[in-house]
Amino acid sequence: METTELLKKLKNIKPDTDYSRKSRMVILSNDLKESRLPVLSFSFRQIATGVLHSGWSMALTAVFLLLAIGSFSILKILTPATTAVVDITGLRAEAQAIDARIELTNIVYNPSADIENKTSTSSITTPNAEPQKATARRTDDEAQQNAADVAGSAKSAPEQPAFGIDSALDILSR
Amino acid sequence: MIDGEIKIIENAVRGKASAFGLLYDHYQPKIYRFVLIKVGRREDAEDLTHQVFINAWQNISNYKDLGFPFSSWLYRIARNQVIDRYRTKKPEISLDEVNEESFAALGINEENIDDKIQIELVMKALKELKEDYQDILVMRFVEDLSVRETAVAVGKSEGAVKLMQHRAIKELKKKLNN
Repeated sequence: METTELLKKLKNIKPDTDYSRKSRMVILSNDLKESRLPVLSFSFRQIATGVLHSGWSMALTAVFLLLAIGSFSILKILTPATTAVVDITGLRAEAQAIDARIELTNIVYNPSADIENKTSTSSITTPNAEPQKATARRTDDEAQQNAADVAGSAKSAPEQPAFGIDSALDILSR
Repeated sequence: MIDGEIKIIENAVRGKASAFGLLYDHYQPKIYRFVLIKVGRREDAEDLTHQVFINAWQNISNYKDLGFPFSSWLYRIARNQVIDRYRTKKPEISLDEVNEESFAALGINEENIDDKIQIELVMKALKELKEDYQDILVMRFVEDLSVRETAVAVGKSEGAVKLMQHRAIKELKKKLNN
């Protein structure tokens, strides 16, 4: 006989019916009490708490919204005097009356102030402050000279070129 | 495989005892047979089979249908149960000691004496094989599992199962001839 045919004969092994029935009953009833029910109750509890949580949060949000919207309308109804006091046309007229124009011609470049600032910062930060101070002093003199020119001194030397803001900046940048 | 097994398994996973009951009715004799061939003692086989289904029922929520048959999952649990039992307790009687009375106790309902002797011989020969060979032969030729189902149950590739099956039959034949 074939080996596989012999193996197929093992199919005749069967469990005892009484044992099978008892085992089935024990497994299904026991586990329903011990392991399945807690799982079910847990999920029920989970659902219940979830519903409660979401219900509470929704209710609270609704109450806050009602309070916020309601308070505005109530304020409007209860205190009409506060809004009546505000004269919108008057405020508009006042705002238009303010002269907010800035004339660019009034802006004057003050190079000495700029140089002072520069020297003060360089004296603090740079170690070779002395040469810079010297340069600052020189530019200060030049600026004074430039101011004199701007003031309309006709006595300025003809060989000296006109000293403007651009040239002052050029000197400073060197 | 039972008709509508997928639906039954889904219901069992949801905790329906009646659905698991159907699975039990279908697979319990197979698992019992598989375990009995491995342990060779009816009481142990009954104990282990009971334990296999308790474990399966307790962990059925973890069962995920990843394309693997349910039977493979059960056989896997059964294999692990048998391994655990062997770790803690050595088998008390070997199949060599099985006589006519104890043969009846194995639950073999075979009228023909010749057949009984043949079954006894096959079981003895099987016990002498490696664990994996035993499992593959029983799953493939006694329980009629497909190569894929067997592969999943024993945790090997289909190719490995085919190869092992071939070697196992060869070895079993040798043992039976001896």
